[in-house]
Amino acid sequence: MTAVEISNLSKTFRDFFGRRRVQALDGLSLSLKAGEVFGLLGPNGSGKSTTFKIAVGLLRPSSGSVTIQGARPGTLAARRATGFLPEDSTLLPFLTAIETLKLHGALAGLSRADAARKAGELLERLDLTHAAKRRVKGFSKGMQRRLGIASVLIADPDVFILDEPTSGLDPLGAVQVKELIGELRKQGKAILISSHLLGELENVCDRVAFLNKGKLLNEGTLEDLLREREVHELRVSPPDPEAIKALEALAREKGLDVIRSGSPMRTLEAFYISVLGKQKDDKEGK
Amino acid sequence: MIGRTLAIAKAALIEALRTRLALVLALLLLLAVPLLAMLFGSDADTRSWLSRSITTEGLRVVLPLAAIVGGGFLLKPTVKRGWTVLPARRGEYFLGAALAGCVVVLIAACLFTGGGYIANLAMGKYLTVTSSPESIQKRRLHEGEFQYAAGRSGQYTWANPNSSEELMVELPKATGKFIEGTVEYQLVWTGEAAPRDRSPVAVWLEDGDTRTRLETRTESRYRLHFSGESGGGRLVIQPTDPVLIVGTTPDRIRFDTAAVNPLGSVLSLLGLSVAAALLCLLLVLLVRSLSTSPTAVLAGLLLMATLTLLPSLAPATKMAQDRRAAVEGQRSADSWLKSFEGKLDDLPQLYPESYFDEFLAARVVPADVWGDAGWRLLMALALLPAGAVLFRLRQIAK
Repeated sequence: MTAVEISNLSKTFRDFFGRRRVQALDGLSLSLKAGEVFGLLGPNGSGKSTTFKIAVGLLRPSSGSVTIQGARPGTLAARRATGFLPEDSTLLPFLTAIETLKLHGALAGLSRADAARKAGELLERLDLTHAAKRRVKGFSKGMQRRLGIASVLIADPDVFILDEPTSGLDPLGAVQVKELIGELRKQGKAILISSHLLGELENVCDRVAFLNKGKLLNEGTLEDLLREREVHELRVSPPDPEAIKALEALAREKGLDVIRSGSPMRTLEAFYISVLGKQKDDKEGK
Repeated sequence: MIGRTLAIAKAALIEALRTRLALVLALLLLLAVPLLAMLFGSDADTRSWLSRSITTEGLRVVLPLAAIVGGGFLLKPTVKRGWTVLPARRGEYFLGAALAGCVVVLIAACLFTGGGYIANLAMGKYLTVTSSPESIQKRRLHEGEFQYAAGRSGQYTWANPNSSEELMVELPKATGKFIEGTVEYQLVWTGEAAPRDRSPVAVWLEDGDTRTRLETRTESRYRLHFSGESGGGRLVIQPTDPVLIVGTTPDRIRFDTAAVNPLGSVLSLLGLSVAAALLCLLLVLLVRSLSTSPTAVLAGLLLMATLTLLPSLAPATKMAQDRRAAVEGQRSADSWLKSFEGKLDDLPQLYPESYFDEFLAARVVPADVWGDAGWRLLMALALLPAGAVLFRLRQIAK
């Protein structure tokens, strides 16, 4: 079943006198199935957030349509089917973490006992148990982000709309979120995710679309879009210099160009995770 | 829907009550009347007056104003503030926020009124219960003989000094050896000369052939206080200014009969004031559902000005104009200005001032105040669904 269907969607912002100010979206069409992670990529102002706001009923489209599990955005059915995490923290500052989750649970129609149980589970899962009774106002940005994700998860919606979900999180937190997205995909949830940080989405998305100035520039699976079919990378271990020289010679003999040969560099993110992950494991006595 | 609305209202209430200044504000509201009365009251009489007048003005003016300003900033129609992205209908957020706002207004009013009641007990005095005559009789001296005519019930009975007319009422049974009370009247100026006296009437006590003039004190433009020794008989109201025709009704002539604890009256004023404040608050929210905060506050202020100031800005009351036309036999020319003036005079007020005036004059507030409060509350509640529908139509761009 199609979880999210966006069809020929356009949005024009007009001023008080009805004059056209900004064309935020121009004929966008997308569809997202259950168990799929779809990434929306594009620079600031490309129309990602506008698409999300229309999908959750905050804005009305100028033309075209959006359906969430077959329901029109803004209706209770669509709102209940959707878990929306906006770009900025939208938590209520004077509620505690547990109160925040109970409120979302109550709005999702959970009983008090169920809401309390699920809130406890989510706080533990997102490493916030120690802050359960602290007011959100005193949370760091990363903690607020994690609590925001927990508040979306408590309703157990079928469609997740995540606007810059890793924004403000440290690399470990970002990895945790990516793992969470992977788990949700396994559970058959449809996830629409946006970011202007391309690396964020690379390991997470099944399909991605590129937006610019409200127009869809390209769309496809990561395999289709990213695979460099004109080159081949061979990784060997251990890096024996003699063997490598022989391999390079063989390649040239076969008429291939050796473009690059050497020990690859890890990304800074991978290094950070390996260092801090090790420290965390030591503390936990693993 | 009800469960979600209540959950949002509860969260909004917790948010409001946990703000940094909430406790300080609550304490200030509770202590406002006692502190101000002690600070500005140099003697017991002034403190007694202040404890009534600060309570009155707080409920009459400050509470609706605070509701208007607070209401303008109650809704948070942005993504950043979080409320509009909760998994609920937009209308449910509107209703929940409105409910929380109403509870905050009620809590603030209760705290302030609680302080007012404490101040009235400690520094004020018990309120007076009054009794009114059942009917008015008009007497006219014609060729050396008195002619009598009964006034029509529910209507003004008028006395013209140029025809030696007087108004008479029987004393109530509850009065003792000393009578005290007030007469409220309307005036029609004949226009033949400028009014002469500060007070256009004299009040007499008539027992058979004996006639004793009572002590009088002008309390306001249309109200006179009288007091004196009494041996029974009738009260006579005599117009004394030849250019002013005086008229009154039985319920505007009142004799003081007992004194009671101010709690009931304070609660009545609280009810009326909260109802008026909620009417203002919900109107502001209705406007805010599709506009900005300043626009909504301005709309609320305009409503308050229209319903409180404009009726009293009419140059003469419609009733006095009609009476003058009847007495002088001439109808004023119909014009849009006259018609507009009539419409202003007919406007329902945000709250009837008379109840507050009763309390200020240290009198028991009549029980029919609850009916007026109820109507205003119903009008306020009628605005809620409209606001919820309008707010659902609003687009949240930021």
